[in-house]
Order: sequence, then structure tokens, then C-alpha cells
Amino acid sequence: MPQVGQGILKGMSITLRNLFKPKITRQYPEFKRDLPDRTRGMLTVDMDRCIACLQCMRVCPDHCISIDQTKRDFDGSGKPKPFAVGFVIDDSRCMYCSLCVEVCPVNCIYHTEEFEAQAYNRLELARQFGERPVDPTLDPQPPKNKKAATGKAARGKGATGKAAEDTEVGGEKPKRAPKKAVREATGNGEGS
Amino acid sequence: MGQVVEFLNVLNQEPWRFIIGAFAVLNLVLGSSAVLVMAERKVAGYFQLRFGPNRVGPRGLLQPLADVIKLLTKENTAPGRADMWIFLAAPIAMLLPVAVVWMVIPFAPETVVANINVAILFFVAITSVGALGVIMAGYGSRSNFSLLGALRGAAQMISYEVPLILSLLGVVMLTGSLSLVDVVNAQGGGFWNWYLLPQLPMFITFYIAGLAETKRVPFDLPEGESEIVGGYMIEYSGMTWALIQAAEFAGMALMSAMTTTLFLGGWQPPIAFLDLGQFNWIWFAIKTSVVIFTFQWIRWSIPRLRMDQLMDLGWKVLTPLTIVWLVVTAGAMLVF
Ligand code: SF4
Ligand code: SF4
Repeated sequence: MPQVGQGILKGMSITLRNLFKPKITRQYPEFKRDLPDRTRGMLTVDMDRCIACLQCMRVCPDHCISIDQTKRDFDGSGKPKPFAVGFVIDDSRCMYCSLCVEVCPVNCIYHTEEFEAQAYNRLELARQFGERPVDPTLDPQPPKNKKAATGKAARGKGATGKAAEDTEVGGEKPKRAPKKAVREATGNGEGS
Repeated sequence: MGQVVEFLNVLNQEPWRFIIGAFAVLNLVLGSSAVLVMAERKVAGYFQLRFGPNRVGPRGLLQPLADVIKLLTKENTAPGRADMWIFLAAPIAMLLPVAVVWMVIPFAPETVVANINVAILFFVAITSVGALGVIMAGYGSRSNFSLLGALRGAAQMISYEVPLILSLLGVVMLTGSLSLVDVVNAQGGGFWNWYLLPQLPMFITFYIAGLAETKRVPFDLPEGESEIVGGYMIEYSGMTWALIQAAEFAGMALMSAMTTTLFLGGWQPPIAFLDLGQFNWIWFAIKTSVVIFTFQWIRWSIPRLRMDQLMDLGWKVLTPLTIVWLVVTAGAMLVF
């Protein structure tokens, strides 16, 4: 009988003591703690360094990245090089897998420490870079056969090491893409 | 000046006195339930080393206002096959009894809306209607979870009605009256005259039964996140949900006020020289707030009981205890 209610009293004394203890809550908008190293925040791209190789666009499982690619002859050598006139990263689809960051040959696409993504319209989260805005609602399409071939050539030796990865990801990616392009893309992968 | 006094005198006559009083009490019930929701969240936060609501107004004090505006602008949805009349009447059937009983509670000397001489009987009779509201809500929603929750709630409320009423009887016997004003007057002259001391087991029983009546932890079996989700109020939203919630919180305030009135001396000051005359409602408010705080304290400290434990406690512990103490009280009254 003497034990009846002891547990209750013990628990209630603990809560009563908590009532007067200093509170440990950190008030978020006023207090922001330092983010850990390698935080994966929203993506950004350094357009000056981007060589428009389209690897990030291809590897992205969520089709976040769309690139409007042209060729421009920068150095007057008569050999036009790929150039991204428009670049959009739709952060509302991104799952922060970081595949695009890993695959970029010149390390120009990277995560920022920004994580407060909020908007009234989903498309406000699509970040535009470059000279010409790209419609973020369109799924990025693999470039046409001719372009792909030349693009591959322009990509050069640097990317051949990653060919294996490319094919793997390419295998699941083309579900949304036109069938013709799929066959060509996989064919390309096998060929290289 | 004379006109003003005359006007006030007219207002003090029936039926004006009753109409004004009823209006004031209704406002008190709705306002206090809004404030109590915030108090609950604050207390819960402090018990868990958090701050609770602290964004709206200074230290979050305007939170009730924000809550009310939010709930008023929310959409009211109902299940398609719900029994609409019963579904919509249930929150009213829950809130109205709670609001009505406030009219017999003496806040201060002569500050009681209706000083009826069967006030305790009135309290007992009207609060039992709350179980009906719960059943209506569960049945009208046409949802299995609601019905289960409602049946559990009704079983609990009806079971605890018995010790609740029995524990009142000791007070009634000592006072010799069913009027709450008489009960408070009989406890005057210092805290040693309160019924708390001679009726301690009854007080504990009344307190526990009151917790169960208001469906608060550890007796909040009508709800249950793991098995019946929100219980009888699972289908409610917007203002109907707010009414149910208001009924619960007003019920808690009512139980605290009744505990204060019956066992803690109502508006009587603890020591005679602290008498504040017409301002004795301050004592009533302080005591009621303390009891409400203990309700909240228990809620955030103790886990929920199981259904069979709940029934065991009600029928095998509290009911016999009250009957025994009734006999003891009767014997003591015979001897002295
Ligand atoms: S992090 Fe992943 S999901 Fe986001 S853009 Fe890069 S590849 Fe796509
Ligand atoms: S992988 Fe890097 S260089 Fe290639 S297109 Fe994307 S951002 Fe530009």
C-alpha cells in the first residue's frame, strides 16, 4: 500500500522541476545554427565555367535541370564549342542527391547553404541562370542524334572515364523521353 | 447619479439580472476556453522545456485571438453519409450543459446568476447530458472510429458519474443543503473550516472523477492515437471541432470551479482578515486557477490508463471509498 502513487508523484515532481528550469528551445528565425560541412542546400551553377556538357542534365533522376545549349565560336578557331545560353534548376523537384554535383567535370554546379526554399507558386523555385530563360516545366530532352554525337565528341577524353556511370543512369532515365531518343542514347552508351 | 443607481437597480431585478448574467456566463465560458487552450499549450511547453506559443503578441498572449480567427475561417467538412442533424447538434449538446451549469456557481457573495436551492442536483443532472453529446457525435459521424470512441467515452463518463455524485453527498450531509451558496457560506472563517480536511477522501474521489468526467489524461480514453485516432471528434473540423474543444476546456474549468466551491471554500478567503468583500471573486479565481493548473500538471506527467484499469479504478476503488466515507461522515455527525 505505501507504494501506491509513488510513481505518479515521482513523475509529477520531475515535470514540476522542469517548469522552472531554463528552456532549451532555440528560436529558429532568430537563432540559426551553423550548418555542417557538405550541407546539401539549394543548387547553384557558375555559368562562367560551365562547358555545357549536359552531363548534369542527363544524370539527374528527377529531371530538374534543363539546359538550352548552342554552339559558339569563342576563340575564332572555326571550331564552335558548346555553350549554355539558358540553364534552369527546378529546386521544387530536386531531391538533393548530389549526382549532378558529382558528375560535373568542371565542378561548376554545387550546393549552397541555402535551405529555406518557400514560395507560393512551385515554379518560383526554379532558378534561372544564363542569358535566356528556359521553361522549367518541360522535361529536359536528350539532344537530337546529331547534336549528341557532336556533343560527345566535344566532351572529349575527360568524360570517357565516366561512361559506365552514364549508361547506368541513362538506363532508367529515358522513361519519359521519346522512344527513339532512348534507343539512340543506350546505343551510344554501348558503343563507347 | 440617481438615475444611474436607479438604472442599476432595474438591471438587478429579474429578468434583466438573469439575462445579463446568462450572457456574461456564456462569454466567460467561451472566452475562458479560448484562454485555457493557450494556457494548456504554454504549460505543456514549459513542462517539456519548450516555450509554447510565443509568436503572436507579447510572449504569445494574443494566441487565443489568432486561434479563434483561424478556426472561424476554416472550412467545415462533414462525412458524406453523416447524419447531418445529429452531427451538427452534437457540439452544441456538449457545450450547452457546461455553459448552463456555470449559472449556479457562486463567484463571490451574491454574485451568482441563479441562486437555486437544488444547485448541486442541477449540476449533477445537467453535466450528465455531456455523455449524450459524445454519443451523438460518435453516432452522427457514421464512422467506426468515432462510434468506438464515443462508446468508450460514454462508458467512462457514466461509470465515473457514480463516484462523482456519491462524493458530493458528504458535503451535502455536512451542509444540510443542496444550495451551493449555502455550501460556501458554511465553509467561512478560515481554511480549517473548508470541507477539504474532513472530507479528504471525498475530495480525492471528486477530483479523480472530475478528471474522468472531463475526459482528461490519464482518463482520455475517448481518444487514442493508435487505435481510434481522434475518437468521437475525428470527423469534425473548423468551428464544430472548436465547439467540442471549447466544451472540453470549459468542462475542465467547470470541474475546477466545482471543486473549489465544494471543497476549497469557494470565494471564502483562506484567513478571515484577508476578506475582500465584493472582490472575493479574486479568491475564487485564484483557487480555480490552481486547480486547473493541477489538472494540466497531471495531464503532462501521467500516461493514459488502459480501459480495464480505468473501470477497475472507478468501480473497485473510488465507489467503495466514497460509500465507506459516507458511513464515516454519518457516524461522525451522529457522535458530535
Ligand atoms: S541533386 Fe540530384 S535531383 Fe537535384 S538536380 Fe542534382 S541530380 Fe537532380
Ligand atoms: S555538368 Fe557542369 S559543366 Fe556540364 S552542363 Fe552541367 S553544370 Fe555545366
